[in-house]
Amino acid sequence: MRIAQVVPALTLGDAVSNNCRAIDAILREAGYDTKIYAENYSPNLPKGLLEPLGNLRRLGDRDILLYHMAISLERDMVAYGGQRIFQYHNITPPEFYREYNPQVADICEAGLSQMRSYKDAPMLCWADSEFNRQDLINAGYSCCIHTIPILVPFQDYEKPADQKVLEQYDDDYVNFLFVGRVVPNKAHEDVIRTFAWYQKHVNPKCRLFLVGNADMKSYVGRLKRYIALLKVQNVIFPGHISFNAILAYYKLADVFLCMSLHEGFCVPLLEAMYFHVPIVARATTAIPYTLNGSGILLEDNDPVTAALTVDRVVSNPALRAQIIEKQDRRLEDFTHERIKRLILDELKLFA
Amino acid sequence: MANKQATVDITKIIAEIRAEIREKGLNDDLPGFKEVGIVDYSAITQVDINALRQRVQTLMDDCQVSAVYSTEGNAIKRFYKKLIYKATRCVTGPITLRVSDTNRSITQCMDSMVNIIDQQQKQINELSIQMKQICEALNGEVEGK
Repeated sequence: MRIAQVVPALTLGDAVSNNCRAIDAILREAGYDTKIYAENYSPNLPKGLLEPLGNLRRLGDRDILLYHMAISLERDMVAYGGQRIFQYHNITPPEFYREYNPQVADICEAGLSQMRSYKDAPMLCWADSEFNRQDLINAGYSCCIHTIPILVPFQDYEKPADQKVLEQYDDDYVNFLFVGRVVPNKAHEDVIRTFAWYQKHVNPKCRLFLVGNADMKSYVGRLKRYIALLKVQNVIFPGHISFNAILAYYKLADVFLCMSLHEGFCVPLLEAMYFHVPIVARATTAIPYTLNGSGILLEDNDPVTAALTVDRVVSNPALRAQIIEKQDRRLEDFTHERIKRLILDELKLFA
Repeated sequence: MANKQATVDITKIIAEIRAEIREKGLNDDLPGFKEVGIVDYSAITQVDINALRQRVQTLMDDCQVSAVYSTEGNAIKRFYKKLIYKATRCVTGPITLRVSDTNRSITQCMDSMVNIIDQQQKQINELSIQMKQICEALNGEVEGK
């Protein structure tokens, strides 16, 4: 039995790609004959990691096709045969992108339409979160759907953090952090707005790190003009940075503030848990499921409530300790060993 | 102890924050994200209509394509050029005519667009003046009251 993992795009650093590579590693370790096939991929990936999807031949009846459903794929997954497992990572609703980048909106639209059309294709679905599971059910999927969280290779986070970044911001400022691509569904404007209110009314000695790929120029440009309008200081977009630099920003953070409107899982929440950064997040889509009672959830995007909540978290050591302890316990549900066992147990069903 | 520590009463914290907001009369005094448009109009440069008109005029003057061969070179070269020209005239003739027609249509369209831009620019200027006058009149009325 061989396992072909199919992913629309394999790049460095995004959650779906990292998950796909982590699954590849555990499958190899367990002795499976496995390979990643990608329709699009970045050229700077390690050699031999993947093959172009065009090289994938029709699978045998006992083989497994593990398809990572994120955006649309040109090729038809059903045509490849095999026993099909679809891992659903969610697709951002196109409305978020329409006014900023219609092409991206069209890709999301196509992805959603393909997701709906595949409702009878898989024998089993894996959903990253309960939110994603509900999404599949609402789309008419009638097969068995199990919640299998994203496999995060936490051992990578033990690598040394970028010393330069650590030294640059080694002071008594309160550091806000949000990690994620700078795209409209993540509502960076609400993070900035909360930060601006905090800086104006609570503590001017603060800074905000907005870590993540900032390629969507129309949105990033609007955010920068909003920052200028708010006259807020110390908002930092580090841009495309090394993994070690990302680790440094987590180590510098006093609070992780997430105001995102749409998440299928939100890996940065787990990263914040791992680095013992207290989380304040808006209760939307998959976020309440991923936090599951840990962190502090906000009902809406009111910057006053959010800023005062952050103030409580950073200025009250007892509260901070309690939040971190609860986050630590939640993180145990996502250990590499646990998710690895879940995945391997699932695959045994097909042996 | 561990169990006691792990009971974060978020509801209570949020209730306290809401009470603080009410007591101190705190409010969201920041401009909204909607006040910033997606397109940065200030970054769009003003069109220099005269320069644009001149460029279109140059294109209109040059839009005619000719299949006539160059008469440079010695007698042998000129002979071969003439030979090739005559041999291919049945093919190049209609093509050059068609290209010239297309070029003429495109440049005429561009000329029309320049006129439209010019007219719109004048309208914008007139409307801006009217808007300014209305604003001044309104401010005068408010001050009068």
